[in-house]
Amino acid sequence: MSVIETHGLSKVYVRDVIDTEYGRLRIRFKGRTTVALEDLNLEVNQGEIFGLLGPNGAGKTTTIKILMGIHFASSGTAKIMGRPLGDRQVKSRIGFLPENPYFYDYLKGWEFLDFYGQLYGIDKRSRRAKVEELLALVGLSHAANIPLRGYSKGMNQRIGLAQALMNDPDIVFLDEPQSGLDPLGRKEVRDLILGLRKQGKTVFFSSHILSDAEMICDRVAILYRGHLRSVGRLSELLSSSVTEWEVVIRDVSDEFIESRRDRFDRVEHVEGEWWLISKSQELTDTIINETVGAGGKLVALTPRRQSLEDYFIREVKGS
Amino acid sequence: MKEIVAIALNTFKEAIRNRILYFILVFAVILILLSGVLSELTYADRGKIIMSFGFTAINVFAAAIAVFVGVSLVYNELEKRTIYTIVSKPIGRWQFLLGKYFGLLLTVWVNIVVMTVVFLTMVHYYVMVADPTWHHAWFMTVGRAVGRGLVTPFWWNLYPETSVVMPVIAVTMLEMAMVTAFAVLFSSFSTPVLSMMFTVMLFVAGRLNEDIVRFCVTLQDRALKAALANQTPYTHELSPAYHFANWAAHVTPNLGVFHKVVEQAVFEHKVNLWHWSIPYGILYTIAVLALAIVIFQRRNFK
Repeated sequence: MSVIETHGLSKVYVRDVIDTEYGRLRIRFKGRTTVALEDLNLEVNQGEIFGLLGPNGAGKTTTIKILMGIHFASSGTAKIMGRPLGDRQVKSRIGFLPENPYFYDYLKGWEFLDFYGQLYGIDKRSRRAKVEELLALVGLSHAANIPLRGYSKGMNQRIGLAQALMNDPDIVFLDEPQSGLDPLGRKEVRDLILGLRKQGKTVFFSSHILSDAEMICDRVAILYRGHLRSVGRLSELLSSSVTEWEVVIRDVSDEFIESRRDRFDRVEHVEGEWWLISKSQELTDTIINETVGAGGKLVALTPRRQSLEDYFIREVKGS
Repeated sequence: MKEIVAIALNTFKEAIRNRILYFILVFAVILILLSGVLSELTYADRGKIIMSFGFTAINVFAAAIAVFVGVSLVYNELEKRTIYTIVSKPIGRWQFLLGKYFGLLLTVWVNIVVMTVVFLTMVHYYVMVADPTWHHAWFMTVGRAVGRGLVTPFWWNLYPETSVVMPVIAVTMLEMAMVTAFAVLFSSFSTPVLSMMFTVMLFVAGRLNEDIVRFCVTLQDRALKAALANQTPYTHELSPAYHFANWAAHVTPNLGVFHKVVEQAVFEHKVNLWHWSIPYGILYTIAVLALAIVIFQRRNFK
């Protein structure tokens, strides 16, 4: 069942053509338009981790801003949980973490979460329990009484994640949640997202860190210059693209290898094992049969698939 | 409603952590305290000088707080993008804006109360000092004056000499509700500098509103005389200045109705409020806030 749907979603920004200052005189002409998003059709299913990927300026943040009601679409429609954008009931069931968030830095950690709890209409006792639970979840219990202006970037990101989970949402929107985090922080966010999926929540996140997306996403969409390039399961997008086969064998003679060396792209001898790299599945099957026939042993067979990064670069360059 | 209260209280917390607020407040308190000293330099009735000075200081500095703190409140939310997490929550944009408004208004009103207590203390102190039957030590006089200053806001007509203060302060609070609404309106679509300029201009124009009306009447008279002399239709003789002034008189808030109350309180020691002043102030505020909401409702936040 799809919980997020967009149909022909487009966003055109009107920007200044001229914005010049001559001393005290400032001249501005408006009119230049920038197409940030064009005809976006997406469906996100319940309980999946959906990654919206693309380089800077691809339209990822614009998409999320429209879905969150921060910007209005120029054309097209979108629905969350089958209801139109801006619906209060829907808003009470979603959580959102913006990119590089700034928060009310004069508030202490617990005050900040408590304030957002009030916006969800959560009663005082439940709020207190939820705040403690979330601070523990994001590892900020020790910083509960510190004003946010004293938080590091990583801590800010984590308290931002906590506010996005204040209402125990069904869908969580995360805009570049790993941006600016160190490897440990990125892993913590990954684990948190995977934990949300375990709880049956849908996670819609944008990122340009492809390795992280590859690790956790069920499905991805690739945006480039406001256009949707491709969308699908990672296995669907990448399975047809096994680039090479890696066969590791042992207990075969040097002559056995030498007579076949020309047929492989690469041959390496590492600690008594032969590593044979082939681009042909047929050749791979043949060498396995011949190895077994010659009394050798198959140690490992690894199909090397194209990485998401390879796929992404190909898609983007192809456009 | 709970959401508006939550945003209002958060806005209040933000505002009272703003250093500008304390700068203005300290300046206002110093000026109110100085009014007593200044009154000694005049031949006029000292009580009137203190009253006039105090009311003016409270009015001007309350407006300064509304302007200086208010114009950046909504703008900061957009600039720092804190608005992103707010609009994604189950609250309407109008609730956000009203929350900001009431939070700012609460800040202004709390400051008015603080200034009023200082002002009342001043008035009571000079009344006691001027009383030949009052022969207590200086600190006793100050202590008593502070006590009376703290009691009067709750029991406004307990002391005859300050019985007009609280009704005037109530009117000032209503006037500030209008000024604050303008600050929020401009802040919802403009930069702080422009918002500040617009709000100050409207505050000044609002104070001069009745003068603008008088100017219109003068121009009308002149046009009438010219029409009679030239035997031309009256409307042909109305100058562009009249049309502009007439338009300005209708558009700007008539803050003069509130100022009249202050003049009456100072010079006649009575408060005779024009009955329509209160509904006028409330309706004008509602209209300005409604306009702010209409603008804010369809805004793309950058």
